[in-house]
Amino acid sequence: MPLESRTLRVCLLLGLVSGCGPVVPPVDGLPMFCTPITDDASVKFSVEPAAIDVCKGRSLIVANVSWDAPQTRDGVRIEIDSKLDLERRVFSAGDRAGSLPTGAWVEPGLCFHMFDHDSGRELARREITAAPCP
Amino acid sequence: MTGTPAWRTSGIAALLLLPLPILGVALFQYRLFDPLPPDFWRMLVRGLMCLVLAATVAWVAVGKRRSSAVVPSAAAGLVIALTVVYAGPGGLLVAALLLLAALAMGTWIEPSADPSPWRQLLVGLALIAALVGWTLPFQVHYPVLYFLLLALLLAVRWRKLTPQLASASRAWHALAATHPIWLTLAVAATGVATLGLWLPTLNFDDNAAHLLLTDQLLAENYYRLDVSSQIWAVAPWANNVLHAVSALLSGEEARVPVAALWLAVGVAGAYRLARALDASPATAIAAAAVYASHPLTAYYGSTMQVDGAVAGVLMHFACELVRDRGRLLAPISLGALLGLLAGLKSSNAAYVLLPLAWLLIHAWRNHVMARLMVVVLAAAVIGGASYFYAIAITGNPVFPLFNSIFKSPYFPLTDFHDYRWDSGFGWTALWDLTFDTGRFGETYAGSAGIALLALLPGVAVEIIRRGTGRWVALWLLAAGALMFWQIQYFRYVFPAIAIVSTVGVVGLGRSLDTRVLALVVAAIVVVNALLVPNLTWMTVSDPWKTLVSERSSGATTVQRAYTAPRVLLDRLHLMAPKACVLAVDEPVVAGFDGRVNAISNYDPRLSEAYAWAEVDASGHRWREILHVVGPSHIIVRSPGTWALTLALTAMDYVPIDSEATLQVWAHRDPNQRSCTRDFQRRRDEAHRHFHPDDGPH
Repeated sequence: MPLESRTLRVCLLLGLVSGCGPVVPPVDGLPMFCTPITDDASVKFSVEPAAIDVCKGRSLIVANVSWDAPQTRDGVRIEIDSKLDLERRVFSAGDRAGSLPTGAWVEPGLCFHMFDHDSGRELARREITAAPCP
Repeated sequence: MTGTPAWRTSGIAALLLLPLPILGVALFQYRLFDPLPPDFWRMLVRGLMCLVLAATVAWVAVGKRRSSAVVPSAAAGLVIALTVVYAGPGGLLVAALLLLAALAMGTWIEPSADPSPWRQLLVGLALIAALVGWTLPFQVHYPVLYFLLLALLLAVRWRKLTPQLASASRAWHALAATHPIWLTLAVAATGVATLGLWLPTLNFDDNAAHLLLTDQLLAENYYRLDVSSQIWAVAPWANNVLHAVSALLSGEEARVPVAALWLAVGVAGAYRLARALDASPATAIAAAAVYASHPLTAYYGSTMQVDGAVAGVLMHFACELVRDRGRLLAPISLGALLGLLAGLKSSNAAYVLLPLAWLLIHAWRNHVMARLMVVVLAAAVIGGASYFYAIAITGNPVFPLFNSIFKSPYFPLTDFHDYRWDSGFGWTALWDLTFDTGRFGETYAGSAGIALLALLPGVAVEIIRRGTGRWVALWLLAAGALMFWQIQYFRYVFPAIAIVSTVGVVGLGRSLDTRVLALVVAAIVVVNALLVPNLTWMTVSDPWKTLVSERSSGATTVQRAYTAPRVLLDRLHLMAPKACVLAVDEPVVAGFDGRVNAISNYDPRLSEAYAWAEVDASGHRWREILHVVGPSHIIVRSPGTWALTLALTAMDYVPIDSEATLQVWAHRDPNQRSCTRDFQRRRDEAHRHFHPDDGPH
C-alpha cells in the first residue's frame, strides 16, 4: 500500500493542521449540474444577459462573460455545458479577471461553471434561462 | 444538620422538596403520561416482581450465611440475564472482551499501584479508538488479527488485569453489603436503561450514517473515507470505531457491546463524580441511579448516537479534574480522556473549554506546564485521527461544519446547520426541556425526564456551598447553555443534564435525611421510567411488547415495523449479496457491506443529480445518472416519480420485492443484474490516496 499522493505523504510526515495543498474531489462521472451553489464570497462572475427572451423568437444570442477571482493562484477556468449537451467545453482558462464575449451560441439551459484553475474547486456557476413570456 | 432548630431543618427540607409536588401536578397537567402504553408499565411491574423474586431466591439460597448483600447482586444477575435473553448473548460477551482489552491497555498506560479501573478502562477505550482510527484507510482490519492482538494483549497484561478485576469485585461486594437497598435501586434503574439494548438498530442516523464504518470494515477490512457519499464520513468517529471493533469481534453488526459499556461507564461515572464531590457512598449510588433513570440513558442504549458516551466520559473527566486539583499527576490519562472526548464529537469543545482554561491557569501556577503539554499532545494523538483525515481529504478539519471558513470543495460554502432546532429559548428553558421537549428534538414532551428540575434545589445547595460541586455545576451549566444557545437540540445537552443532576443529588444528599433522599430518588426513577416511551415515534408504540411476546423473532418484527428499507436491504442481501444498490427515497445504507449509495442530503452530488434528473420528464437524465452510478438494484418509493419510473421501465427494470411503501427494482433478466462498483471506487478516498494500486475489491 504505497503512499503515492505527495500531498498526503507530506501531511502524514509533518502532521500539519492546515495548508496541505489543494483538495480536489474525485471525478465520480456524474455530470456537472447547474443548480445554484453558494459563490465564494471573494469572486465575481456574471453572464449578461442571463435570460433570453424566447417569446420574441430569439433562442441563440451573444453574451458577455465577466469574472474576477483575485484570490486564485493560477486564475480561473470557465467551462460550459448544457442540459441538452452534457459534454463540457472550456470557454476560457488562465486569467484571474477578465471579460469575454461568446459567439452567437448561448441558449437557455446553457451553464457556465467557473473553477479555481489550481485547486479545481468550483467557485460559481450561472445558468442561462428563458425569460418568462408576458 | 446537628444543632439546627427542627423548624428550620423542616423548612429547608420543604424548600428542597418543593419541585416534587409542582412536578407531580405538572406531569398530569401537561399530560406527559398520555403516550404511556399500558403494556409498557405492566412490563415494568413484571420486571420489578421478577427482581423481588430473584432477590428472595438468592437470599434463601445463601442459607445460613444470609446477607442482604446478595439482593443487589441477584438484581444485577437478573438485569444481565434479561439483556442476554432479549439483546442476545453475544452482545454482553463481546462487551466483556472489549472491556478486558481496554482495561489491559489502560493498565499499560496507567501501571500505578491504585488507579481506578474505570479510568484505566476509558484510557484503554481511547487508545483502541485511536489505534483503529489512525489505521482505518488501510486494509488491516481483519477479525483474525483483532483476535490475535486481543489474545496477545490479555496474555501480556493478565497479571496487571486480575488485581483490578478482583478490586472491582471487592468494591461491588463491599457496597452491596453496606448499602444493599440503594444498590438495588440503582440496579433497577439500570435495568430500565437496558431496555434500549434490547431493541434492534432502528435509529435513522445509525442506518444512514453510523453503520457505514462497521459495514466497510466487516466487508472490506478498511474504511473508504468516502466523504462524497456521506458528508459525515470523516466526522469524529471514536464511537463508530468502537462499534466497528465490537462488530469485527462479533463477526456481524453489533451495537449492544459498546452501548452496554457506555451505559456502565455513565452509571459508574455518576457514582465516581459524586464520591469525588465528597458525597457519601449512599448518595453516590443515588446519583448513579438517577443517571441510569434518565429516559435518554435508555435511548442511548438503542442507538449509536454519541451523546450518552460523551456524558459518561465527561463525568469521569470531571471526577479526574476534581481529584487531580490541577496537579496533572497523570497527564497521559487526562490527555487520553480529552482525546476520547475530541474523538467522540467536535462540539465537545464547548464542554472542555472551561476546564482547559482552568488547567492552563493551574499548570502555570503549579509550574507544571510541561505536563500540560503532555496532556495536549496525548489528546491530539489519541483524538486527532478523524480531524487529520478530514483535513487531508476535504481541507476542513470539522467537515462539513464551518465550511464557509474552510471552503472545502466537497460541500457548499455554507456553515452546516440544522435549522429545525432554532426554536429559541428563554428563562423557562429548563422547564420547557421537560414539558415542551418536542420543540427541541424528534421526540415527545417528557423525554428529557424530570431529574434536572427535581434536583435543582440540590444544585442550588452545591452552588451556595463553597465546595468543588459549585464549580462543577457552574461549568456544566455554562457549557450546556453555550451548547443550547448554538442549537436548541436537547440530545446535545444531555451531558450537561446528566452532570448537573449528579451535582443535584450530591446537594440533596448533604441536606436531606437519607430516607427522604431515597424517596426522592425512587420517585425520580419511577417517573423517568414511565417517560421512556416518550423518547421517539418508535418507542411510543411500545416495541418491547413485541420483543417480549415474540422473543427470538421479535427483533425482525420490530424492524419490519420501523425500518422498512433496512428490512428490504437485509432480504436483498440474502438474495443477492454482491448487488450494488441505489436507494433513491430512503437514505438507509446499513447492513449491505457498504454497497449502497443513497440519494439524500448526505450526498450533495447525488442530491443534485436527483433534482437535475427529475425535471426531465423523458427519463433520459435518470438513465444517464443510473448509467454512471451503475446499481444493479434500486430502492424507490411506490409509486415512483414519473421520470424515474419511465427510465427504469426503458431499462427493462421491474419491481422484484417490496416492503411497506418501498420497492426494489432490478433488471428483468437476473443475469443482467450485475455491477462493477466503479462509481464507489472512484469515490473511495482511501483507495485514491493510500492504496491506489489495489485492484477492484
